[in-house]
Amino acid sequence: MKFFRQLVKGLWEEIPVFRVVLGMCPTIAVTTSVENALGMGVAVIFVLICSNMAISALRNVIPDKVRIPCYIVVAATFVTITDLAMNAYAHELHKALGIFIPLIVVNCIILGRAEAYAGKNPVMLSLADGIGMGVGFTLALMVVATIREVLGSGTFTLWSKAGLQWAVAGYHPALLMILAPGGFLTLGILLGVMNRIQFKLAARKGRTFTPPSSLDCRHCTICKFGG
Amino acid sequence: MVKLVVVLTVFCLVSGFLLAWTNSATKAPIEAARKAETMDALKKVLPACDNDLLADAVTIRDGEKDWTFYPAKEQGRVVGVAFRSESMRGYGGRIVILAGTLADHTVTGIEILEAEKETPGLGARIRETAFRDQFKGRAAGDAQWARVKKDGGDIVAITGATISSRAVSESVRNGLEVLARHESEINGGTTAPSATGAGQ
Repeated sequence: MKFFRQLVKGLWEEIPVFRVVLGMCPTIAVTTSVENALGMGVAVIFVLICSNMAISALRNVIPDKVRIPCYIVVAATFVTITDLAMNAYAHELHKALGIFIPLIVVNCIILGRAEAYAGKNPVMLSLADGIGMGVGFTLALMVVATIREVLGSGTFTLWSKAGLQWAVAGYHPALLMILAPGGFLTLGILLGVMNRIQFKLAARKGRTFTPPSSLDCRHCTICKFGG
Repeated sequence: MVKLVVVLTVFCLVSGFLLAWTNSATKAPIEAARKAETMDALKKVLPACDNDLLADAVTIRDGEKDWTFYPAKEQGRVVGVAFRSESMRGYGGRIVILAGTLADHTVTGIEILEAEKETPGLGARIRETAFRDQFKGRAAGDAQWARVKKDGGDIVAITGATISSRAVSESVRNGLEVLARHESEINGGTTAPSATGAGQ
């Protein structure tokens, strides 16, 4: 039960991009196409599960004072192993994701989950946390990427090599959306919508919703999202 | 204090050992995958042939650079030549292409081997067939057509990715020029090595 609850946490309640607002750099960088978002997501799921489990298993060995360097060494090791193994046994996939894999080391979600969860909880729960957070991150990336790709390129690509690509007929793409400003626009609007939904849901249950401090937009009076 | 140092050292040692082991275990498969990839690209851009393309590759020195050419032969007769060419002027650095030509210097097609650092959705679209097919079927001539329209050539650049398109055109153009200059060495390279060191 606890396992399941931890698994679901990453999908909605603490969904990495929209609620915890971590991993913003890959979010802006890879969401130019759904295919890239999916690839990045899969690589992150793998590394997150491995590093979460390793750190959880070693949590009693790692001294508090050097935990961050230890976490980084563990994450970097798994990332490099993934990079090499993918290059050797899934060469095509590696070519498509080549630049994103080394980026995972600096993805705050890996270190964030190690620090916030895996370093304090047993292995099985950390596994659930890794799966949940990884899948949540992937879903969030895909939402952002779908909006950006459809508006910016006029296509929807799941896997171009396998022909899973569709074009929006008769649409003239707005190039801005796949450039960096489009990433910020999409992300900002989605974060706002997400806050709005959470406010509504909380109000229905008669509770007040407190957004994470980095996301609390109620001091601003332009749109009255909290009202 | 000592414990901190020991733990961190052990972590790094184990990590280093794991990485060394993974590296040695994946070295051969990575090499094989790279070879298969080059072979794949060669087959796509060259006409049917019966020689061992990788073994018959010819290295030519032109100016400061080494160029690799892959003559395709059918019963000892050269039916086409492919070459590897690179440009450092991509949007994110190096772009490596493989282009094929027939014996009469018609370009049969190009393949993008490396363009990892190009922006996904923009520069990375040089891999798309619509862009690459612009080179297909063109007679090499003086190769000056292999420039983007902005630079006076015939290649329509990808919207928002003129720099990447320019880098691809540049590498095709340079390769065709070197091919024209060294044609006899390349065609006869493997059977009769010339004084310039072809066939090494």
